[in-house]
Amino acid sequence: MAGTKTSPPMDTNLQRWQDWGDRHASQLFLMPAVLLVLVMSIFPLIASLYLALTRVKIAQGGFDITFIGLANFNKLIFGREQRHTIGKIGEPTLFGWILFIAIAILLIWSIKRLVLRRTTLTVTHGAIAAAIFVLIGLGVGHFLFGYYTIEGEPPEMGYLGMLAWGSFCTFVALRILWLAIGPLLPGEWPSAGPILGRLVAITIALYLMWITVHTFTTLPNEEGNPTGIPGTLLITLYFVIFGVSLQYILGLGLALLLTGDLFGKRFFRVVFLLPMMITPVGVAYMFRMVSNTSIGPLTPLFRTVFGVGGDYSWAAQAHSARIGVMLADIWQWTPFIFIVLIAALEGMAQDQREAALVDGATNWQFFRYITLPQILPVSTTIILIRLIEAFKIVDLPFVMTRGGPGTATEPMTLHAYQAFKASDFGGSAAVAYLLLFLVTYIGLNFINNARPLAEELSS
Amino acid sequence: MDWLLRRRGLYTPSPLAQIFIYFILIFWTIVVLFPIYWVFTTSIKLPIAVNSGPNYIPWVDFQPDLHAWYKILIEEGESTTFVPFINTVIVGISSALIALGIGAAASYALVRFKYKPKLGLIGLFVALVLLSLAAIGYGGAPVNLVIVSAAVIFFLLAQTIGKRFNAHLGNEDIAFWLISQRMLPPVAIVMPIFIFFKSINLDDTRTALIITYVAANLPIVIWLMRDYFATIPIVLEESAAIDGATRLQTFISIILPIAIPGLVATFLFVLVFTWNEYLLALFLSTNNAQTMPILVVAQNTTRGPQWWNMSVLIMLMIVPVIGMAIALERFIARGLLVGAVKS
Repeated sequence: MAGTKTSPPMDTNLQRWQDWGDRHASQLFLMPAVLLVLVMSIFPLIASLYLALTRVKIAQGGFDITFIGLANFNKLIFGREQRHTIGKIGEPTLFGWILFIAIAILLIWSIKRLVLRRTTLTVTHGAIAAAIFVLIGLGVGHFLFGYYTIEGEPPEMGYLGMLAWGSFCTFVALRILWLAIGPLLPGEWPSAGPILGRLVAITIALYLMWITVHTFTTLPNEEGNPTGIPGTLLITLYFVIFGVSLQYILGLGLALLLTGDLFGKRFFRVVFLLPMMITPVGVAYMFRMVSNTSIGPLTPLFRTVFGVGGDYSWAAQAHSARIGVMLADIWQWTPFIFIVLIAALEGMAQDQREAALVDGATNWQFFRYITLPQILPVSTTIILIRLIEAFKIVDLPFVMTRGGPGTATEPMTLHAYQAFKASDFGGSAAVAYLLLFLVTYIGLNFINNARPLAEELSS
Repeated sequence: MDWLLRRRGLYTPSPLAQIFIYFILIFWTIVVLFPIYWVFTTSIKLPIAVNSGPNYIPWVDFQPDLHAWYKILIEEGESTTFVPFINTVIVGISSALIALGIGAAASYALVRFKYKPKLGLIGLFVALVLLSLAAIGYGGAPVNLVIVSAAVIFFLLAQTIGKRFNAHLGNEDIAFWLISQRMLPPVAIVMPIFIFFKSINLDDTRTALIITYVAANLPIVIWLMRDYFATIPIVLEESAAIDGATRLQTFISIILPIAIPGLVATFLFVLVFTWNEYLLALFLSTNNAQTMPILVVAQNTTRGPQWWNMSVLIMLMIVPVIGMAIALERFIARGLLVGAVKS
C-alpha cells in the first residue's frame, strides 16, 4: 500500500497527518477491532482461565487467591459437584443400552473407515494404536483426576470419564506443544493431528452418550421417580440439540410455504419475524402468563383435554418444565432460521426450477432434487450460528423456572451465575470453561461432519 | 375437480394447496401474535380481572383500565421507569453505532488489504501475556511495572527474534479469529470484565455497558459486512485513487454510501441484540446503568408477579422493536443475508 501515490509538497501539518494516515491505512482500519477484541475478549478469557485454576477467598482488604490446579474441574466432573454438572447416575433402561450400543458401533465404524482411508495401516496396527491411546488416556486421566476416587472402589463416573477427559487434556497439551515447537523442527513431519483429534472426539461422544444413558433414560425406583438425574451439561445439550433441530424444521417448513406467489406475503413475513425481536426476558414472562393453568388463556384447554386443574403446574415436573422452556425457545428463534432460508430460497437459480416445473416434477422430487441441494450449504451455516447462540441460553429458563424443579432446567450459564452468586469464583469460571469446551467441541464436530455430508447430499 | 389440484402458474400453487398453505400460515400467525395480544390485554386489566381466570376480550369479558400504564409511566415514571428506558436507548444506539464504525472499517480492510501477521510475533505476544500474568499472580509483582517491562521486552524481541520467522497468517485467519469470538459464552469472560471496570471505577455506568456491547457485537458486524464489501466492485476505488483520494476519503465517500442497505440491516440487527440483552447487563449494572430487561425481571416481587405492571414494561420494549422488524424485513433481501446466503 505504502508509497503508491506521489504526494504534493507538504505545506501544512494537516497534510502531513493525512499522508501518514494514508500510508498506514491498512493498520489504522484494522487496529481498533483487534485491540478491542484483545482487551474485551482475549485478556478476560485468559484471566478467566487463571480464575478457574485458583481458589478465591474474600480476605481482609481484598482477595486471597491460591493456585489449585485442576481441582475446580475435578470437583465439577468427578467430585462433590458432580451431581450438579454431570448428573446423578441411575440404573439405565434397556432402551438406553440399545441406543448406547448402536451409537458406539456407529462411531467405531466411522473411525475405522476414516483411518483406513487416510493411511496404509492394517486393522492390527489400528487395534494396537487404539490400545496405546486408551492406556495413555486412562493414565493421564487417572493422574489428573484420580485423587477424587474412593479407595478400593471404581470411580463413580466409570473409567470412560477418566479416558475421555484424560485423552482430551493430552490432545490439547500435544496441540499446544506442536504449535510451539513444530515450526522449529527441520523437515516435513506427517501430522497425526486429524486422526488423533477424531479419536478424542469419538471418546468424548461415547462418554456423553454414556452419561445420557445413565441419567436421562433410567429405571424408576420404588417411589416411581427415575433413579438418574441429568446435570447442567446434558440439559444445555438437550436445549441446544432438540431446540435447534425443531427450529430448523419449522423454519424450513414456513419458508417453503411462503416462497410461492401468495396474497399478503409481506404481512406474514413481518409477523413471523416478530418473536426474534422481543427480549428473551419478555418472552419468558409471556409464556408464563399464557401457560398459566388457572388464569392463563389456555385454562379451558388444560381442563378439558389434559384434565388438570388450577393446582397443576407444568413447571413442577422435570420433563414438562424442560419442554416448556424449549417451546419458548422455539417460538423465539424459529424466525431466525426462517428469514435466512427464505432469502436463500428466493436467491435460488430460476432456470432449474422452471425446467423442473415444466417437466412436471412432483412436489417431493422438486424439493429433494432442486430445492434441498441449493439450500443445504446455507442451512449448515445457519444451523452452526444457531448452535453457537443456543449454548448461551440463560434468560428463558432463569425467568420461567429459575432452573427448577431442582436443576431440571438449569443450563450451564445459569450454573456459572449461581456459583458466582455463591462467591465460588473459581468454580464459576470452571463451569464457564466447561461450557466453552462444549461449544467448541460441538461446533468443530458440526463443521467437520455436517459440511462434507451436505456437500455429498447436494451433488 | 381437476382444477382444484392443478398449479395456476409457475409459482402459484393449486387452489387446494393454497387453502392448505393459508391454513398453516394463519395458524402460525395466531401462534406468534396471540401471546403478544395476551400481554397487551393483561396490561389494561385490573388485578381482579387478571386473577379471576382467563378474560379474553376487552369490554366483553372485562372492563379495560389504564391503571398499570398510569402507575408505570406517571406515578413511578421518573423514579423507576424512565432511567432504565433511557439507558437502554442510549446504550443500544451508541454501542450499535460504534460497533458498526469499528466493524465496517475492519471488515473493509480485511477485504481490500493484505495482512501477513507473523506467527513468531503472535507467539511472543501470547508468551509475554502468560508470563506477566504469572508474575502478577504468583510473583506478586506490581501491575504497572509488569505491563511496562512486558511492552519493552516485546518491542526488543520483536525487532530481533520476531523477524527471523517467516511463517505468517493471512486475512482469512484474522477474520476467522475475529468472528469466532462470537463462540465465547459471555459468562466465560464477564467476571474479569466486571473486575476490570470496577478497578477503573467504571462499574455500573453506561460507558462500561457500551464498551462491552461493542465488543460483543463486533463479530456479527464483521461477519455480515465483510461479505457485503466483497460484493462491491474494486473499479470504483481504483478510479478514486487515480483522482488522488486518500483511503479514508474513498472509504467514507464512496464505499459507505454504496453499502447503506447492509449497514442499516446490520445496525438494526445489533441494536436488537443490545436492546434485549440480559446476562451482561445483570453483571455490569446494579442501579444507575440498569437496562429495561433487568427492570422487567425486577417486577417479580415478594407479593408475587405483578403481571399487569410487567405487561406494560414488556409492551414498552416491544413497540419500538415492531418498527424495527418492519424496517429489517425490507432490508433483508439486499442487506443482511448476503453473507449467510453466499457462504
